[in-house]
Amino acid sequence: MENRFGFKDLVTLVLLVVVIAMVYLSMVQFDRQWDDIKALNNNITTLTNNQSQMRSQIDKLSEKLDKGVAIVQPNGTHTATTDGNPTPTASIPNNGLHGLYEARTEPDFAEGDTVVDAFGTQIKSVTALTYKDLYGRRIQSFVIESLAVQDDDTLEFLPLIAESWKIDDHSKDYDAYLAKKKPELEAKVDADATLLDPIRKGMLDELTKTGQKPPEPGSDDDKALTADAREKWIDQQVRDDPERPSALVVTFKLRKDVRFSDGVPLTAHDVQFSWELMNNPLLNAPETRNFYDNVESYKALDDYTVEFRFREPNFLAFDMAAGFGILPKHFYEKFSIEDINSKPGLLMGSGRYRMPDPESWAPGKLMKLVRNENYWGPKPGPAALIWLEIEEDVSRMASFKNGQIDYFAATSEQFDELKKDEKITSRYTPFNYLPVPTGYSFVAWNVTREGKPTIFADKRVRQAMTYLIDRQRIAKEVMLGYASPTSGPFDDKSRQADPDIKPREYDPKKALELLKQVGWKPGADGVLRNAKGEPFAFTLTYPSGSDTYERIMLMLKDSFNRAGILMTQDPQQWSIFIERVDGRAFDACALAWGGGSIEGDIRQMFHSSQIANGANNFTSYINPELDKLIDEARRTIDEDKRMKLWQACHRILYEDQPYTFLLRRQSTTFIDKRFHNVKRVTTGLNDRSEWYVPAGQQLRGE
Amino acid sequence: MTRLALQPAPPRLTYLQMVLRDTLRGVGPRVGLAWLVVLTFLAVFAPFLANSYPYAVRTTDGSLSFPLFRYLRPVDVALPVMTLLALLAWRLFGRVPARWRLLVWVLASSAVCAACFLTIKPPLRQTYDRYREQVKQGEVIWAITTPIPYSPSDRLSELRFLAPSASPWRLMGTEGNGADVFSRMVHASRIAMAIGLIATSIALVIGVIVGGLMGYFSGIVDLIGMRLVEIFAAVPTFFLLLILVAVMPPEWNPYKLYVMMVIIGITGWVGYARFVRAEFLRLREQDFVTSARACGLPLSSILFRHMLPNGMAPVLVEASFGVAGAILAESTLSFLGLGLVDQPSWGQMLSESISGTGSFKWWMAFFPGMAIFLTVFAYNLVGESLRDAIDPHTRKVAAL
Repeated sequence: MENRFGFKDLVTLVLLVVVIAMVYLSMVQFDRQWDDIKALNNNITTLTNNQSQMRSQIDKLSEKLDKGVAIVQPNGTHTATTDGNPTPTASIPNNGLHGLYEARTEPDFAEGDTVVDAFGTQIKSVTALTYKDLYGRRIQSFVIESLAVQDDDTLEFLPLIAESWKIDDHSKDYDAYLAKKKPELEAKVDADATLLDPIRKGMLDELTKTGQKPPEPGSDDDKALTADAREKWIDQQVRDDPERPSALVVTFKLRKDVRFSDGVPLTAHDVQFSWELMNNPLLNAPETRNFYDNVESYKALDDYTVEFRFREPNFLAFDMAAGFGILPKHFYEKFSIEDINSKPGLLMGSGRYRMPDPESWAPGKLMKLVRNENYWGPKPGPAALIWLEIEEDVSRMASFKNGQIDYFAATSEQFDELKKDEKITSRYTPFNYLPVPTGYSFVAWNVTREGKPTIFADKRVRQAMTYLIDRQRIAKEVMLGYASPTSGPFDDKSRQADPDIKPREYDPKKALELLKQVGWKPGADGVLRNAKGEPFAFTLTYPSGSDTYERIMLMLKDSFNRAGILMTQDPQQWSIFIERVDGRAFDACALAWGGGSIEGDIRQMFHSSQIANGANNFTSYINPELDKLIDEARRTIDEDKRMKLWQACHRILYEDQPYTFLLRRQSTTFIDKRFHNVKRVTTGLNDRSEWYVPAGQQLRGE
Repeated sequence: MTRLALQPAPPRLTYLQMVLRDTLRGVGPRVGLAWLVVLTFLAVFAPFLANSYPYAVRTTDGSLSFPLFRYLRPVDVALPVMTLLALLAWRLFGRVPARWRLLVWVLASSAVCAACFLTIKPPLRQTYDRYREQVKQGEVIWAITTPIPYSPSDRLSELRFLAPSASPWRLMGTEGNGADVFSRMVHASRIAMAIGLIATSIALVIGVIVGGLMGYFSGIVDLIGMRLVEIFAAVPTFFLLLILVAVMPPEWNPYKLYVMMVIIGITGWVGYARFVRAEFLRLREQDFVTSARACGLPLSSILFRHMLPNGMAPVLVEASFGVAGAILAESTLSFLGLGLVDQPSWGQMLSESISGTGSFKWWMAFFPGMAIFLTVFAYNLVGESLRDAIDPHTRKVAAL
């Protein structure tokens, strides 16, 4: 009998497919139900906690009432930090929550609706402390709060979890101690050189590990190494000396009404725990640990008082203690360090928003925060915040045009085009502004390669290169005007920058003159040549994949070419690019610095101590005067004096041009008009938790 | 009564001539071939057709200069000379046996190449706007420019994404960096032609050698060879290409084009090997091979002098499809942004047709897209017609 595929077989096959599909779908459905149940469970636990706390509070209250209480005129909700002069406007306290209070006083304020944003990349981890990128940090800022926050308009620190603080500056004692101790230690080490052996050995091991040759005994390199080791030894001794006075002691008094999103009160022990967790050497957060290295101790003096001690005077000391996110001890204690290192979604705090499930988020799942209904302060308007992950520029814009995104960070070109589109502008407000802190893009000129000075070693050459780059034109043509030329590493409007310094204008004549002084003269074919007849040629390395970069590099190439300088483009994938930069294997490279604190610290890029071991001074630029200024500025607590020092740094960098500072890019965003109370502030826009949608205009549910 | 008239005997055609005649019988293959000839012309003479430097300039200070010739690169000179030599050898010396003509051409072109690369040293610096400056200053009395007066890398960034209608001088508009699209199209035909021909040649050489050995020896050699063929046939060329281009050491970037040619070549030989093997299996039992063997001719002579010319036809058909495939592969890679840096390419231009803003630049899609389509289509038309011409079965059908 012939075995043919008949109608019956077809029916069976179709049925089979249908059954499999149904099983699969029911599994999916089950999964969803499971997630829902978990979220519900969470909510119920929170509610029960709340209830029990409320009961105990009521008990306490009734106890007090039994004892008899004096009634005071109720003016102001939380006036703990105002100076005791209640004014009519004192109903809005001057703390980190004033923006929310103000939003809630608007007549049409309503809770509800959702803000949908889109990231251009996949979020990899949101776990506290171990997150690795900017995106993780964005999410954290809505969930975790710190002791104090920098006001986004005045840039002053305002109390948040802490209601007040006391700063004891002991830097004078510290300086006196150093002046006494250092000569003692120097004498000791000079008398007995064997003390340095363990440090020297460590440094030599480090060299061999990174594939470099250890210096010959007796050579100059070897002497330099010994001198380094001596410095290190002295630092170590100072650091380990129990008698050394702390340079700065800050004591915070915490509010008593702060609660985590699960209803558990936040106490000084949580603060201490957060710092202990960060300082756990097993936790995968070495950069963070490094950054907070200056914090010597953090101690909960009682349930609502914490004391921080700092080793050395440093202008960022207060920011470090005040700005550190406070984590719930009872939550993170449940997990081992390996769990915290490896799980991508462990996030809980006392913030305005919370993760629907603080444990189980993983990359690929929808990134959604919901309003913390237990928030100890005034509750924000939007009921949820969502971040979509759309990698393609074009598809992100398509989703925006389809109305799926409320907050759209556009590229310059997209912004320029959409701004003209009436359909878009009738529904969305375009915002373009220079955020604070802004990043800046630059071309870095390598001054030493393989131990030899390069063509950029002379600062006149670097100045000439800057004169040859038409930054105005790049800003206008590539960035379409949404960027501005910059003269240094500090925001041009900040007090750190010297207001008298303006970016160098495009001036090929001046450039050629400078190059002539160094010995580069145009040859018969127009190419600049030195005395030996070698042409002025170099390779510019930059990260590949970005159209904007590609266009800027082409413009540079053409502009240098016009002046007689031959530039070769060398676009590299990010990982290879970083490898090149760390290994100093480039002539010049283009890159951008972003983020950082509002008052920028330039030690990372321009201090000569940051050359070795692949640190961030990758051009090997050395200026002893600048080193001294940077060190001094960092140690100076007095703001006016410090700003003077930063301005002096700015002048040196302007003169030396270790980088050609290119542009500061503006933020270009569209925000749905249904959001009210979207305000321009010094740092950019006010926090989106302060936005709200009036009841009639709400579009999205939760 | 009619007288018997003397009829001239039809001229005796060689096999090659017959195949050529049959191939070019239809309109399709003629058009296809015409397009390929045009493309070859564009590729060979690209710098003489699209260049920012004029052929000759007479300036007010009385000097006469020839900027275009000063800025020619060695390859710009070598290619046209080689092409002219080839035409000369083909048309003028018909009496001389083809083998000799080929040999002389190869020798002469090698000499020309060597001479060009040794003697021609173009200036390191490009000064595209010099002539424009002179015109602006009113220093030019007359100048002879190329038909397209723009070089492919002559970027005027204030003129980016000009539509063709915006300027009478920009027939195909400008691209994202302000370079002329027409000029880039012309120069890109070089890369397309080069990658098509060279990659296919590499594949052809490997395929013929492996396939020839398999077919001639059969038995265990054939068994092992066929397994090798099967292994290579199972490798998805395009993904291999993607991976190799992505992990290629950065120092090779200047030679990316050659790397791409080699990769396409060494993954594409399987088809040729199969065809040659099948032909050789058929031919090895034939009398002329047996007699050649009996005469004691060396193996290379039997394989390549006696058997190969008789078994080559189907391979050539396959090769014309191979060229089309290679061009398509290069376009695809360039479209995905894995192609050459700062060199014009059809695929790369095509990828720019949708900019970051999502707006559609039709001229950036239409012209390169048409060029890719027409070229691939032309190769396929010619290949198909060639196959019909040499296949005895289809020829009979056609004759009926």
